[in-house]
Parts: sequence; C-alpha cells; structure tokens
Amino acid sequence: MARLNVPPTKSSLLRVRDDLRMATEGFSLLDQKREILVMELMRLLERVRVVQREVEQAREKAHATARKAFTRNGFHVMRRIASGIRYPHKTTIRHRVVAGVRLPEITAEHGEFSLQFGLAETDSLVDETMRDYLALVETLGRMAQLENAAWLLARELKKTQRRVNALEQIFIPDFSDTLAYIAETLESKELEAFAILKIVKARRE
Amino acid sequence: MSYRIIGDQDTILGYAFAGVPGVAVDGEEQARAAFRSALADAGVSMLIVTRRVASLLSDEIAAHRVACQAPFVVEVGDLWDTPVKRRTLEELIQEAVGIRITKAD
Repeated sequence: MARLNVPPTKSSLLRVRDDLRMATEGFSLLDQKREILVMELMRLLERVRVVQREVEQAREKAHATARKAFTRNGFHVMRRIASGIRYPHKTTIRHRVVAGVRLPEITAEHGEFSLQFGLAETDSLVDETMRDYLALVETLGRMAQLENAAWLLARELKKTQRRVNALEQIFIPDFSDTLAYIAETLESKELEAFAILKIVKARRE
Repeated sequence: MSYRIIGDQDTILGYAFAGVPGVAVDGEEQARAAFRSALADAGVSMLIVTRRVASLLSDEIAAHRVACQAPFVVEVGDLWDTPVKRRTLEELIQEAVGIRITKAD
C-alpha cells in the first residue's frame, strides 16, 4: 500500500479527492488517445505495406531497365546522357494533426517526362530508364511520407502508453489509498471526540 | 526542397535519369560525411540511401528516424543486388521505439 505523505486532515482530504478526480479524468482521456493512436497506426501500417510493395515493384522494374541500358550503352555514355537531365522536383511539407501529433504531408511535384537528350545517339532503353525511374521516385516519395508518419505515431504512442501506465499503476492507486487512509483516520478521530464528549457528559451529571 | 540519393556509382546513375542528384560514396567515412551534409542541407527534404549505405550507417539513420525530422530517409536496394527480404517497418519500430503492434482479434 503506497500512501502519500500528507497529514490526515479535512483540507488534505478535499485536496486528494480533487487530485484523484483529475487523475481519473486524465486517465480516461489518455486511454482514448492511446486507442486512437493505435487505430491510426494500424491503418497507416496497412497502407505502408501496400506502398512498400509498389515501391519494390517499381524498383525491380527500374533497376532491371537500368541494368539493361547500362549493359547496352556502357556506363560512360549513360553518365554523359544523365548529366544533362534536369527535373524540377519540388516537395512541399504541410502538417496534419492526429490526436495531438503533427504528421507531415509531403506533396511532391514531379517533373513530367520530357525529352532531355538527343535522339540520334540514344536508344529506347534510355527513355525507358528515365520513365521507370520517374515512377520509382514518385512512389518513394509516398512511402517516405507514410513511413515517417508511422514513426511519429509510434513515438507518440509510446509516450502516451507510459503516461497511461503511470496514472493507472501509480497515481490513481496512490491517491485512492491516501483518500481511504485519511477518511479512516478522520472517522476514528471523530469517534474518539464523540466518546470523550459522552464521558464528560456522564461525569458532569 | 528536393531529393538526394547517397549510394554507389551505378545506383545513383539510375536515379540521375529521374533528375535526382546523387552523392557517390565508397566506404563508411564517405557515407557518414555525405549523410551528415545531407542532414545539414535544408534544401533536401527526401533522402534516398541504398541498402548498403544504410547498413553502414544504421545507428545514425535509426536515430534520425526516431527524431522524425526532414529530410525523410528511405532505403532502396542497390542496382546489382539481388532483392533481399528487408526488415518490415513494424520490426524497425519495435526495435527503436519499443512497442509492438499486432492485430487484435
């Protein structure tokens, strides 16, 4: 039985009762928050799994094309071609709030597939490489956003979990034990005073 | 705000075709230096690292991920690698944050 170190008086009884009420309210709120976080995280992880599969496919495809293109054209030629390629990738980060957590929402503007090299000395594999890699980068961007949101939620969940546990296992039992102790002591004191009063009365008669 | 990739020569060349600037690194020191300079660069919002680089810098990447700050790091396979089973996000989160997420029935 853990008890707080407070004198068993009427005023501390009131104070501890207030504290207990506050702790219980906080507990139920945090418990709700925890549940929301868990739900959100589960949903997110489901989406992450889907996007990861997409990324894996896009990556396979892009890498296979790149391997073919490198083998056909040679590394140095490819490098020369690549050095002229510019795409204006632009990402903007906004935030969405879920259960008190700021989740980043990344919107990426990707360059449209466009002609960036001479046609005379390049083959279709070069075009395909560019197309596949653009698709890959686009899915990677989505994955980064989801994964990062999952990390944030997980961190917040951990924090909430710890608070919920502290309230449930430590603060609430402490407060209620103290409350019971104070109530008990006050009652016995009252009884004592009452008994003394009786005795005094009896003696005076 | 844009992308950047850290990896070996061949892998980053592929990404150059999508207009992603890359830093070719060889060995742990170079990788670490490239990673740090990418973190310090406010213009990078999405950092792609190859799996090999990621395994060299696993400690720093894990710490950066838990901190949840830009640039956001994603891992991709190397160009010549055969695909290996990567660890799932759940496992990574469990390791770094210490909570396990399982489906409740």
